[in-house]
Order: sequence, then structure tokens, then C-alpha cells
Amino acid sequence: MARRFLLLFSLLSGLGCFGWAQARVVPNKPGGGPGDTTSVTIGQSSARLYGPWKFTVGDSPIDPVTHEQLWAEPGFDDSGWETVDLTSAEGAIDPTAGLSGYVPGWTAKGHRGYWGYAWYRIRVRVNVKPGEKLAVGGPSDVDDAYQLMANGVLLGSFGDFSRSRPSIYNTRPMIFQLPQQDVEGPASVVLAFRFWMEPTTAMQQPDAGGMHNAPLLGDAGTVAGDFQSQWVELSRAYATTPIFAFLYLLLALTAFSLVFFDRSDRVYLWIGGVYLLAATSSIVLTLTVWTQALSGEAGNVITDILLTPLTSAGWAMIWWVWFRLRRPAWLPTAAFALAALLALSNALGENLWFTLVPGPVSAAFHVISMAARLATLALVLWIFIEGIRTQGVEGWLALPALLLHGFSRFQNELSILHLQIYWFPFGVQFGIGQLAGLLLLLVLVLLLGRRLYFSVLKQRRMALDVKQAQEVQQVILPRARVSLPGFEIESEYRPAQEVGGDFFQIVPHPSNGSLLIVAGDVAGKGLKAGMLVALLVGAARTAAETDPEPMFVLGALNRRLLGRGDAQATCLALSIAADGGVTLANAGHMPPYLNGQPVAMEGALPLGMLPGPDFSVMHFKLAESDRLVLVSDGIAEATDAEGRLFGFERTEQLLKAGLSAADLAAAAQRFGQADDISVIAVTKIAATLPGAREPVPEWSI
Amino acid sequence: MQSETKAHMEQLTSPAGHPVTVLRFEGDIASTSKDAVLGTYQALPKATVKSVLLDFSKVDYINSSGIALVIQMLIEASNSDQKVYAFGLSPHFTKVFTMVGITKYAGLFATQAEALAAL
Repeated sequence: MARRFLLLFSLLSGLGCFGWAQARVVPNKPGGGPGDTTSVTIGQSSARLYGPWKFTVGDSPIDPVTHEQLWAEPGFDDSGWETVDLTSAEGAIDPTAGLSGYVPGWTAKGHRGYWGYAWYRIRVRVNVKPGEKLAVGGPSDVDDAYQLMANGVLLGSFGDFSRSRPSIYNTRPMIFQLPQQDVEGPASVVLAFRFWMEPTTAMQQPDAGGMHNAPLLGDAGTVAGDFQSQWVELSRAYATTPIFAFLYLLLALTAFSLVFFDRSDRVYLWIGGVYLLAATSSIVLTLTVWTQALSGEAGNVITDILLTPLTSAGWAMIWWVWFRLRRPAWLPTAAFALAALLALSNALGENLWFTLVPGPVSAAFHVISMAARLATLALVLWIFIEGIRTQGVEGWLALPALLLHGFSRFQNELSILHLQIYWFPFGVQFGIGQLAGLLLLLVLVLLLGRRLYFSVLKQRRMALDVKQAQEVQQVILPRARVSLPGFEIESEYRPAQEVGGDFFQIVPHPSNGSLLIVAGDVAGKGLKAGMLVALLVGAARTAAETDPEPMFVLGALNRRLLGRGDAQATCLALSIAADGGVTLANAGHMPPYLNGQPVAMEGALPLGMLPGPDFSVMHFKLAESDRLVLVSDGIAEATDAEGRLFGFERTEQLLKAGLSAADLAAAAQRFGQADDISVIAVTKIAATLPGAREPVPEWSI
Repeated sequence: MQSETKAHMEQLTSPAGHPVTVLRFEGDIASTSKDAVLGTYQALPKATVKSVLLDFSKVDYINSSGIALVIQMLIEASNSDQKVYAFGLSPHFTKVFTMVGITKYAGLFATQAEALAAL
């Protein structure tokens, strides 16, 4: 005969043997005088079912008669099962969640490493008055899912048992109502719990398996009160998870927004990305702890296979970019290869799909997972050593936080070894991972502030450099309107950026009244093009001092550009004699317009392409009032919002209409400037009479 | 906004029976197109590829740096005794290519059929 535990349970007496009770005070004589007695009705009581419970691993066979679970039936003989007591040690708490009343599970009681189904049974005698309702408060700390049956009848379940492999959820309080007809008056109730535990749980938590605290049986209202207090305890334990989710999200947004301050620094994107992953991880944890929106398996897959490996590789990339390392070039690939290995080994090592791989293979992959995490930590440490070597102070500041963070990646293994990795100040869970995360966050905020400060400082210096280059360029370009003996010259220069790649020089001969004009366009825009412009302007003026002949000038400029990488420029040099005779040499530049008509000339390669190119040359003569206009391709290639070009035809039409240099440049700019714009218009005018005062050009050489 | 340059290669046979390698470019050609333009061309085996067609029909814009890349490619082709023809250029860029002397190194045609027939 099995040893039965009989609990005499009375809703009226509520005395002595109950672990938890609530009392209701009812005065029997309202307004009674001295000497009256007040009677007290103690009711709505409940009792913790500490045991002894009968326990066995494995799953119940189906009763061939009733077709129900045999081990749930009240008449089943469980005398051969183990006896388990769920009375906790004084002050014992769950090492992970901090929940009170903790007792170790079956893996600590002779079933080490066991995962799968297991059963608990207990027989309770109750005596319930008519109309009273009883309920069972399910154990609030369990691994992982269970079904509860009373006298063979299923009361409910925590987890989804509709599939061959039950779905599990993070442990939480549950209430199950007992059918009133089964327990009215003196009655015997057999409660049977059918448990399921995932292999992952056995690997991640110490002393895992089944019930970690005792269920509660009693008055439905009292059990509901306990249910609420259990929820308060659970909510308090995980109170930090949404706070961390918010903090991480805030830092991710801050890091992403820093990109607008310094687009050249990719570290902000990496930090934003990694903290977005961290925020997602905390949100997933919050959802799994407080809701049933995500099952435990889904949480494990998202966290262990996706987020954790990506975060590991992301941290390696953050420090790689942070310290601006370039060698070895394979390191980023190695970081992501390790992440892929970690994802695979977590999936197989944690046995998330235990039907796919046998246990020994799963154990081997767990070792690979540890090796992958260690290798990633070693990789990050190597980056740090290099970073400290090159940057010094930043590396030293972040190193302690980094080491703690790396250490926290092994919290499951540390937990299995019964090392304390969680603390519960005021009942709130605070783990080594959170401590490392918080420390790293603080260090990163400090370092980000420092980096941003220096970055802004550098940008200001660069802006000053550009401003100065712009001023230099304005100095080396001629004035907008100048008059020379026999010539009226107007020019317009509108760079697409602060510093332009177009250039032109007007060099009057000191004695013979001729004029040399050099106009060109360096490939590219911005400061780089602007520096080449300075080089070419200097070279052009030097060449003109030696020989102002256009072919000679172009040859000299070509030699200056050769062998300077991708430094190329189109250029046009023309000399206009005092009598209007023009010699024009071209190296790929747009031919000039004579009285609105493009001068037909053969194409030629730009400067800087070949050592001895064939520049195209032509000669013609300007009559009085003839107007020769040199334009850069920034006019014809101005592009509107629909992608249409300003074009050669429109340029020609406007020049035929006699538009000034400034008006033509303005028209192209209004249309949609895409490149530097320069226009030089030379009008042949009557020569100054002998003896008359000649204007002295301020820009003359 | 400048769009990325894409390039892909195709093998054709001219009406005269010569094998022709076609490099088809898409997007904008600018200084950032070095790999797409020069890289794609330089990957061709110079010993066997003797005729190259450049397809610009899906190119939206070529700036001065892009033109310099095309010229570099044509100079390399000329040094390797390769015959290069181009087609699909808009009238605007046909004019620009003529100005910068590209016609000395490559024939310009309106369509692929015209370019193939000339090979």
C-alpha cells in the first residue's frame, strides 16, 4: 500500500497546519457594549503543499480503459515512486530570478542532466462547505511547462501541450479552479503534475527540473491573493529588463544621430547597430518574462542564435573601427565567421532542436560554442592591445569594462558551476551581464563624448583650411571685369563646392599688346581639384613668362600633371595679338564661342593623359566688336531636377542673344548647377589712341 | 544623387565572324567608377580579346573624372592593339567624347548593330 499523505483541510478552522492564511473579521453585534465578545470567523484559507510528493521521471502510459494518462488517475499506485519534499531552506531564493521559497529541481536530486517528462503526485483530503470554491495556485518557479490534473481530470496547463514537443514560457504564477462537485464535503483529491523540461534549461541553469517551490491549495479568493503577490515578486525581479531596453535604445539612437555630425566615422553606425541589437535582446527578454507573446524556444532562438552572435561580432567591429585599425585585413571576416560558428554551435549545443542531433554531438557543440566565445574574446583583446599601443588612454579606460563584458558571455557556464552571477538588491535581479553592460555603456558614453569633441575640433580646422583655400583661389582668379588696350574682358566663376576645379588666367604681354588666356577644368571637384588648380595656375604663369605661345603653355601644363595619379584637366590656351590674330590650342576643353557660334575644332586628349599628346590648334582673327566666349562644361552640364541637361544648344542660343558672362552663369546655376561654372568673354574693342592713358590692370604679372 | 556604376560583360560575334567582347555600363560614370570601368576592362584577357564594344545606352551621366577613366581605358586598349567601338551615347555625350579626342581611339556609333557591322 502506498504511503499516502493526508492533509486535513478545513475551510472553517484554518488552524495550525496551514502555511499561509488570510483572516476576515466579522463583529457579531454591531454597537455592542462593554463585556460583549467579538467573534472572529477565520476563513478563506490556503495551504502550501510542501509534500511529501511522489515523483518519477518519464511519461505516463495511456490507460487502455479510460484512454487517459494512467499516472493522473486517483487510483494509480505510485508507491514505487520517489518521495520529494518541497520545503525550502530558510531564506532560499532562486539563483536566477531571486524568487523566494526555492528548492532545487530533479537534476540536483539524483537525475543529473535529465530533461524531458516527469511526474509529481500528491493526495490531499479536503472538507469544503457547500458554495465554497477551491483553487490551486500553480508553482510560480518551474522548469519548464506542466499540466495539472485533479483526480485524473485536466485542470489546465502552463505551456502549450498541444504539440508533440510542448512550448515553454518563462516561469510565472498560475491559478487553476477545482471543479466544485469533486471536492464538496469531505473528499480526497489527487493532484498530478505532468512536467516537461527542455534540454536547453538543463544546460543553462543550475539545479534545474520541475517544481522549485510548492503549489498552493485553498480558497479561490485566497489563492488569487497569493497569485497577485507572486506576480509582484516576479515583476520586481525583472524590473531592470525594460529599463535596460530603454537605455540601450536611447544609446543606439544617440549613436545613429551622431552620424549626422561626422559622416566619415563609421564607428557611430556600429555602436548604433550593436546597441539596437542589445535593446532588441532586452525587449525579447521583457516579452518572454512578462507575456506569452514569445515562447521560451522562440526567445532562445532569437537571442542565442541571432542576437548574441551578431552582438559579439559587432563589439569586435566597434573596437576595430574605433581604433582605426587596418591590419590584419581578415579580422572583420574572422569576427563574423566566429559569429556564424557561435550561432551554429549554440543551436546544436543548446540542443534547441534536440530531435536533430544526439546528446553527445550536442555536448560537443556546446564545447565549440565556448571555444567560439573565447576566440571572439581573444580577438577583441588583441584589437584592444593594438588600440592601446596606438591610442593609449582610450584603450586603458575601456579595458576593465570590456573584460567584464567578455566574462559575462560565460554566465551560463558560471551559473552551472554555482558561482554567483546574480544579486537581488530589494528583490530586483541584477546580474554580472547587466553590470558589465552598464559599465560598458558608461565608458562608451565618456569615450563617445571625447571622440565627438575631437572630431568636431578637426572638422572646424578642416573647414578653416577650406575657407582659406577658397580665399586663395579668389586671389589667384582675375577680377570679374577688366579693360585692356583693345580688349574688354568679363568673367564669372561659380564653383559647385567651396573650392572649384575650374580655373582661368589672363596674362597680358608686357610689351607687344598681346594677351594670353588660359582656361581649364580639373577632373573632380572640391579641395583636391582646388589644389591642382593652384598647381596649374602657377605653372601656367611660369610658362607664360618663358614663352606665351599656347602650345608651349599646354605642353608645360601637361608635363606638370603627368604621373600624378588621376590628376587630369581639360585646358584651352589662346593668345590674341594686338591686331586681333588668335592662336588657339586645345586639350579636350570646350571650344570657345565666336559671336555665339562654337568654333569648330578637332578634339584632343586632356592634359595628364599622355606624355606627348596632339593638342588641336587653330588660327583666326578677331575683328572689332567680335566677342569670344570661353565656357567650362559646368554650363552645358547643368542638370535640372528631372535630370535634363542645360545643353550645348541652349548655351549657344543664349550667347547668340548676347548674354553677359554673369547672366549666362546665373542661368545655368538656376537651371541646376552640377559642376564648377566658369565663363570668360573677350570683346575686341577699338585700340586706345596713342598718348591716351591706358588702364593699368591690378592683376597683371 | 549619383547612381552606382554597374558593368557586365557579354560575348558576341560580329557579322564578319569576329568574336567581340561587349562591356555594358549602367548608372553614372564618375571618379568612383574606377573598378566598374577600368577594373572590368583590365579583367579581360588581352591576348585573346581583340575587339571590344562599349555599351553606354544605360549610362545616365558621365562627368569629367568618368571621361578620364574612359580615356585611360582606351589608351590601354590602343597599347594592346585592341579595336574599341562605343555605342549608345546621347548626342550630348557624343559631342563631349568628340571634344576630348576619344574618337581618335574609339569609333562612336548610335546602335550596337552599327558598331558590330563596323568591326
